[in-house]
Amino acid sequence: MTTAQPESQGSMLDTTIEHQEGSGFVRSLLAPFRWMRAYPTLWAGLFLLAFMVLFGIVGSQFVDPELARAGTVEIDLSPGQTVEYRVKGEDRSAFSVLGTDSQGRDVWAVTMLGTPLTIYVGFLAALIGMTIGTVLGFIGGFYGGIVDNFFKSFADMLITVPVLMILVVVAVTLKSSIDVTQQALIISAFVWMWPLRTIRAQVLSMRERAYISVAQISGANTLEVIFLEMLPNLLPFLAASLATAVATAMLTTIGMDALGLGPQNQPTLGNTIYWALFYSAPFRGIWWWWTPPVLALALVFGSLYLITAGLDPLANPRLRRQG
Amino acid sequence: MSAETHANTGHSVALDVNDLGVSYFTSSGEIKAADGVSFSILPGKRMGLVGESGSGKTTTALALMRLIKPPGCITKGSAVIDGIDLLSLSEEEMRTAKLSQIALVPQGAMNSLNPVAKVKNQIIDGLRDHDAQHSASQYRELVTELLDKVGLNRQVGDMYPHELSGGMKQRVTIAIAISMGPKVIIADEPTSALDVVVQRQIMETLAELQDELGAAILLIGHDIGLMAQFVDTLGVMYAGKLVETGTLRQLLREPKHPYTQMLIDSLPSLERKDRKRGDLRGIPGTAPSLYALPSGCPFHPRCPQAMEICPSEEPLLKVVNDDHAANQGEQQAACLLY
Amino acid sequence: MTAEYLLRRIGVFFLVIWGAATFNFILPRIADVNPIEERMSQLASRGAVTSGNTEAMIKHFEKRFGLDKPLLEQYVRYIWNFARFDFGFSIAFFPTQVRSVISQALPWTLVLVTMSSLIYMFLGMALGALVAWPGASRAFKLLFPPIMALSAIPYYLVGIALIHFFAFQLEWFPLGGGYTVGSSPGWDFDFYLDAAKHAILPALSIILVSIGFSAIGMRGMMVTTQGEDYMLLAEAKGAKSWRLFAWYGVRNAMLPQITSFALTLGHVVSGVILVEVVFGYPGIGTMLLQSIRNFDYTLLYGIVYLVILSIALATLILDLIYPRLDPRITYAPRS
Ligand SMILES: Nc1ncnc2c1ncn2[C@@H]1O[C@H](COP(=O)(O)OP(=O)(O)OP(=O)(O)O)[C@@H](O)[C@H]1O
Ligand code: SF4
Ligand SMILES: [Mg+2]
Repeated sequence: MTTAQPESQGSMLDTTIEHQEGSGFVRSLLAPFRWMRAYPTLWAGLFLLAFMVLFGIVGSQFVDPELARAGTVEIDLSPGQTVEYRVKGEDRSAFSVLGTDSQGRDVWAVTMLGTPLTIYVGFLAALIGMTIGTVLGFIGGFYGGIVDNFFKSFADMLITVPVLMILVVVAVTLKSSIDVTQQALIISAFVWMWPLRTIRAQVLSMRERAYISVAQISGANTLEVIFLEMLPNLLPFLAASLATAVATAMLTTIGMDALGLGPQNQPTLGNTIYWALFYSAPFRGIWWWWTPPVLALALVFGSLYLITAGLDPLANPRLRRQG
Repeated sequence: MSAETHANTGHSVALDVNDLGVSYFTSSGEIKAADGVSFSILPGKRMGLVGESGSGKTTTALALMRLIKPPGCITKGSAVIDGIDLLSLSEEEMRTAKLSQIALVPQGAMNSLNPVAKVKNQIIDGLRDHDAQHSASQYRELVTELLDKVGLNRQVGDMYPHELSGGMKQRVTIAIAISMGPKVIIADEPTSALDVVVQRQIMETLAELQDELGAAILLIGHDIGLMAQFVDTLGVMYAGKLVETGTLRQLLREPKHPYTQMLIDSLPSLERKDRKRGDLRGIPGTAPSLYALPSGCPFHPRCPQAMEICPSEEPLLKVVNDDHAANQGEQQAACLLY
Repeated sequence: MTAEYLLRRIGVFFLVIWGAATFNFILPRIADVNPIEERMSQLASRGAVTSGNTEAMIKHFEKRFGLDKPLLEQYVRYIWNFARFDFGFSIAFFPTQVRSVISQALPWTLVLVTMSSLIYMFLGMALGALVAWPGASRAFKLLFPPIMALSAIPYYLVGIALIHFFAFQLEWFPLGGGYTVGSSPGWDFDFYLDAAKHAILPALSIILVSIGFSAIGMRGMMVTTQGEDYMLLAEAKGAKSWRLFAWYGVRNAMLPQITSFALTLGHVVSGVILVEVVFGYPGIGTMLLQSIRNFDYTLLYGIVYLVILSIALATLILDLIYPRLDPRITYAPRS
């Protein structure tokens, strides 16, 4: 009875689909689609995110990176014109879907190249932060003690501090120009707190529940317990934490960029916003400069929000009843 | 307004419930949590309602208060106090009838008080919304008086619920229930979370106050032993239906319905002072699922006296005692044996 | 909770601001950066070194930081100065004190943050509560999804869009800034009105985004309160529905919102700083951007320290007034 806990959680997820008909094989083939019906928000979020990533990665293959360099094309052209430009003495021309900015860059090219860069920073920082947070959360939840106390208190403190401020000090003091990967590494130092709290709380509550101790008594070692018993149950929490962490990390990276502290010479979405603000684009009505990065960011943030919201009923089955 | 009269005896009744039905409409179907429940209570009398967990006691109580929430709804019946059918009042009329006509002492008193409000304000709240125009000092006096009645110190008025013990909290809910002198008080397991000594004290307080008010009381509970010391009549519920009613004496001495008989048999000798608490949950077999009630008599799978027709014919409540003594009252049971 | 909690809580406050000050002290030293030299080379590269200023500055800073003194003494002096809000001179605006530069900007930010927070908390809780309340109009339910969609987007991106539509195209509001340039900041009605006009769009970008945050939390709590036993008894009392809503529902559901507000305050302030940058609003955020662009380390450190301190203080205050709202929590030992 006590060891049935993991299964019972699994079956809770399946209750919505258990009335479906069909052979086992067909069922398993269709499983993802039934999940889709059961979790439309989650899937909408995942699709949107996948679209944005593909959009950037595939799209950037079709743009001339030169167009994303300042001074390449004529400035302040409104969308839908053909631009002529020279690269190393060679004449080129391109159709400028979204116009050009006040620094002579093509906005379409900048957005295409910038979207995957910004998502990359967000994911890299979040993955590293999540790993730190999860490990600390497991250690804390399992062993408690001084180490747990220290990290828990430290996390609680750091959560109330405006992380952007600390990053500004770091970035300005170090001053040396950073690239996107370095930026992600710096940011990752500040996204582990929420995962730590979430995972630690879950580990503690799972330890309370009998099945973990049953597994321990039956001779499984700690790592087995973690990987075979606990992690599968924690997946929804981990996924939701990751989505939140990515959003936080992206918020931080574009925040740094918008203050002019981002990676130099890389057309991240945040940098585009920085330059648009630097040249007062919103006040001059050059909407085609700021709209694409803002829209791209809104879609990425929106997708992450949908993923988090969609995972909520999986992570907190209690909420499902209110549906 | 003419007082409702009891169909058979001619006494005026405080509460007359007729063919009450409540259903919960869930995704897996309709649950008839109360079905065709009929009973009446005379003024100043106490009726007990017993039954296994899930038999529909709380549902009946909440229906009388018109507090059934979606997915539930009252499907049929009437509940008449003073010639007025509570179940056909408008929302606003029902709101004013609460507390002044009918009041509830809820199940789970531990959490029945607003954790962030002082006790006195929670007592006054109800009065204010009944257009009782009192000055602040009148309210203060009233609160003191009510607290005094339920055996609480006046200082309790200035305390918050978390500062009170379980018994004190239950006393506060009783103070609220009697604050406007209702004609009917429904007490849903008023003592279930309390220890035995406190249980008795609370019940005594409740009984005293009810005597004083001349109100009728519907006392819901598991513990027939405790209840036996306080009630005049008893109703037994099984799977949403009232299966037997009668005076306490009739049901204890001569239970007619096989379910009631099993209940009474399972009790340690009631007459003895040192008896253990008799609990309904000691009946063999499991309570039926309301999603798929057994056909005919819902008790037949567990009934030792079941007959061939029991699975096919549904028994209705009917008078079963041949005792025509005037002051005995009638005993009814829903069983095909009679 | 007891007096011990109170002491610990105040201890945490001091720990945070001590940490912030220490961080500011250590970072340039481990990065081996000398702020003054950095600044000098920066100015030199722009060909803008004015020799008189430079010498006075260098002299002053060497003396102030006592860079020749032992590290511990430097540290103690540094912490002592920060504790007195003495951040020295601004490098860019020498010889103006960092403290006076900040004190010009601080009120703008303080008002913007406080007003927007109060408004968004109020609107968000009201919306969340009404969406969860069965008796409320359906209109609130329709309002909910767009508000939630907005909540995923950073404030200042919404701010940029607001500028474009309402300031640039419709010209309903001024194009950024905190007051009309040329009008001297005085304390008269016209100035307040002008300042309010300038503040609406920045405030709106914070409010529109944040309503969703508090609304969703409130909705969940409000659903919970409706299942509580005290709600049932209140209904059994025949209490009017506004009383059920306000005193039994909202009053209980709002408590966790206050805690979560305290937790997100740092996040809110970071957002507000960027909103100020977008609008060129004359608060801490714009000041911060300037200090970044000017490599004005002293000003930057002062700003960051004060922002961290303000948030820690606000969180502390929220924690201390919380027992006033929730009688179950008390920091005094029970009598
Ligand atoms: N909100 C609801 N939705 C669906 N079914 C419900 C709901 N509330 C009650 N029921 C069902 O109605 C039936 C009667 O419940 P009720 O609470 O009236 O029982 P009870 O006799 O008071 O039990 P107890 O002794 O445990 O208090 C139960 O089977 C229960 O499952
Ligand atoms: S009707 Fe039949 S099954 Fe039901 S109680 Fe009577 S004898 Fe038993
Ligand atoms: Mg009940």
